[in-house]
Amino acid sequence: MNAQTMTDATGQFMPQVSDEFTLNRWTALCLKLCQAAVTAILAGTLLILFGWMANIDLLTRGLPNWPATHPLTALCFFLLALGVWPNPSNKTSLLLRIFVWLALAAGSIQLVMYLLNAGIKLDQLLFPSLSSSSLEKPSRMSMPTALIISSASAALLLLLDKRQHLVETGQWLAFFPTGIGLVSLAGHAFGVTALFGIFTSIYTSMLACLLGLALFCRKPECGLMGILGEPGFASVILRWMLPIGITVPFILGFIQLWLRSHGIVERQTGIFSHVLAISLLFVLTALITAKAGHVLDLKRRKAENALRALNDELELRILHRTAELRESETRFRNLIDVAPYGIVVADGAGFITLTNPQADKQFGYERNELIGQAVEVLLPPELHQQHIAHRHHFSTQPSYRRMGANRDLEAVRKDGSRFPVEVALAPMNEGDTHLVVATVIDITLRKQSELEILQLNAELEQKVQLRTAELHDTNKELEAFTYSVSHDLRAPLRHIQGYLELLTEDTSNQLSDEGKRYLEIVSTSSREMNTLIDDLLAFSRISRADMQLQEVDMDTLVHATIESLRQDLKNRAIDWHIGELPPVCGDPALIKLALLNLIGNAIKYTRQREQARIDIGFQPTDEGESAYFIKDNGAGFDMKYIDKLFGVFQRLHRHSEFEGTGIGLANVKRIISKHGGKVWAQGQVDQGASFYFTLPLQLENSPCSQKEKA
Amino acid sequence: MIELRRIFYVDDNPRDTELALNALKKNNLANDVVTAEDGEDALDYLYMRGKYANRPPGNPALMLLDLKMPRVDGLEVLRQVKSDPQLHSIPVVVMTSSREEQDLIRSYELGVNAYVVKPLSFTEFLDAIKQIGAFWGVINEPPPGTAHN
Repeated sequence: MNAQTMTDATGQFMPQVSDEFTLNRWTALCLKLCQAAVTAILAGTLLILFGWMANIDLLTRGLPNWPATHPLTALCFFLLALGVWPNPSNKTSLLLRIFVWLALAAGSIQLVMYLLNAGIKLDQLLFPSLSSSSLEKPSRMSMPTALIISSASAALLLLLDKRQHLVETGQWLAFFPTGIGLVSLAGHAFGVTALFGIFTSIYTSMLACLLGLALFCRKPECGLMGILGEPGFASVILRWMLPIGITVPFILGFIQLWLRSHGIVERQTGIFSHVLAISLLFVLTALITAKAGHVLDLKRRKAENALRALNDELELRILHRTAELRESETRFRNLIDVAPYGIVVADGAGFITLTNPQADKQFGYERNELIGQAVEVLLPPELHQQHIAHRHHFSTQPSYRRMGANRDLEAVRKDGSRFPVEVALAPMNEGDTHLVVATVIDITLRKQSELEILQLNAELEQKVQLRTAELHDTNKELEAFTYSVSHDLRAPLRHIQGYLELLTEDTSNQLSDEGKRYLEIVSTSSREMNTLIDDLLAFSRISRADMQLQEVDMDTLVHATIESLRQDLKNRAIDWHIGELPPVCGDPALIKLALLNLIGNAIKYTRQREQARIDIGFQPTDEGESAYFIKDNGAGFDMKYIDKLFGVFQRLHRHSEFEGTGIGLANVKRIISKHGGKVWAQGQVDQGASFYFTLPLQLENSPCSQKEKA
Repeated sequence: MIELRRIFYVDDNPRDTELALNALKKNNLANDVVTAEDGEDALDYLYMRGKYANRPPGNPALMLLDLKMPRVDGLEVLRQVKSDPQLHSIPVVVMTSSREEQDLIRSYELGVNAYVVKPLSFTEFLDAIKQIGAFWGVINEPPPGTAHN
């Protein structure tokens, strides 16, 4: 049988103990003892009743001269034993309780009769065979027996109650029948025949002792027995001392009595040794108890000290941690306070819980004046409703965000004035509280700067437009000018030339040789002027024309250029050395014009060489890039005039040596620059000249390739 | 015998006109040559209005047209001629001092039949006039309704 199910079945309150295992074992032990005692009582009473019926003295009184156990007593014990039986079912429980009440009634009636000294022969009513003739004495149960029966049944009724204090009272009451039983038993054991009159019979004493045991063991977890079952020091001592205290003196006394009755020891020696043994036992018990108590005390004190030390350390740690926390909080406070922008913290309901001094200053409030106010006081009134809606939205989806993204946001000061702000919102959780941290930056200055920049930009834009218009006008004028030059300067030249030729044709035979020479000079000059006009127009056209970029095969272009200069190659011996020329990305018409000038120059300035040599190629230069070059072995030039070489109308040779307008190389420079290239020259007088130029090569990623792909 | 067709020469500069007429004469192109001094004058002739109201009817077989002229310039004359169903079949040869790209492009857009840059040398000019006059004035078959001498 398990202690847990037992307590469940009886519905008893189970006291809280630290060591459940000990209690369980205790409970089980007690219940076993209880069952054993009950069984013994049942067997004993049945034997006694059988003894009465069969008239066997041994079964009713033991020794012949001892008082017999009354059959009613045996019956009452039988009923009580049934009542003590642990864990009856609900039905039998009621029946057993009636048995106990019956036993109580029997015992009480006997007692009352003793008190009234009136004899109702209840026993003889129940057992007619027990006539006073066959049983001189006792004719009824003795008074101590009646006390045992009534007190035991009362104790049992209390024990069976569910209330704790009644159970404990029952246990206290159980001492009474047990005590009487024990004393009587001792009296019988020591053969105190003189007191047999007030003792109960030997069997009644035994039954009373067994019943007492059963009563005590019936509720092992409650009251006095509960204390016994506990694991504490007091309970342990009690568990050991009780049986020893009862049995050892008893046994010692019995031994001494036996030794004396057999004449082995004298009376004085017996008493002396008995007292000595008892004292010794007492002293030994006291010492053992004290020792055990002392050890426990030491242990407890040690544990207490350890606990105190632990407490002290804990205290210290708490102090330390508190200081750290305070420092951390101070740091956090400082951080918030020195932040160069306003910080406003609001709770989920939209009330301000914290501001920093910058925020107070921005909004024109006293320090901490804003705390407890709704955040809406910081916003323009027309935005209040909208903000409340936004606030609810934010609380459902808290995330870092900018307030009023992509539009100008205004905040309101305490005095009602407004200022532009930029606000960032961030959610912050403090335990279960959801807070919103708003960072407020006053952007008044920035707005002013932006406005200034906008104004400046507008002014600049206006200026640019003005200049562009001016430039456009100038360009128009320039175009009109060149158009005019192109037509109007040529017409008179053509007339000079036309009439000159008519004059020569009609009157040449009337003119002297000198006259003819003059006419020839006029004609040549007008031709030169025509060339000059052509070159000037080309020069102005280069800067105006839009470039038509495409892949240009330089090999083909160089050969075509030389071909178009065939007129100048008459009666000339030129050694041409033309290397491999990679293609470029450029305007073919402009590049051809540049080549015409450069190759034309090379042909012109090698005129005085019997064997002219012109090299055209592509090679790496000292600057690390590759350049096209045109070299000749002609007249060359002095490097000190290199600055003038590419200037408009700048000439390094006299007209009588080499004709020219001084525009050709200026055109070359314009064309190469317009392509993003460079042109430079090296030369030495009478040692020839070298012209170099770079152009954007036709490569995978050049504009020409991209255009073709598109 | 070869029919001589009427040539219409439009130029504001009388010296150029004189040289051109001279060149035609030297080339023995005895076609009837009518001259106009500017664009407006030319359009009056073609539409037979103003002082030309009573001129003999019929379109010229060839129009030699200068571009740079006061009031109505050559390109405008060309535009009107080529957009008029009565006149657009007249062969028009632009003769100008310079090879300005914008003029060249515009002229061909408007439907010019030929574009000639006047050479500086009179000899070369003579040659050019000879070829133009011979081709358009003699060899080429003009559209119906073209006036003859």
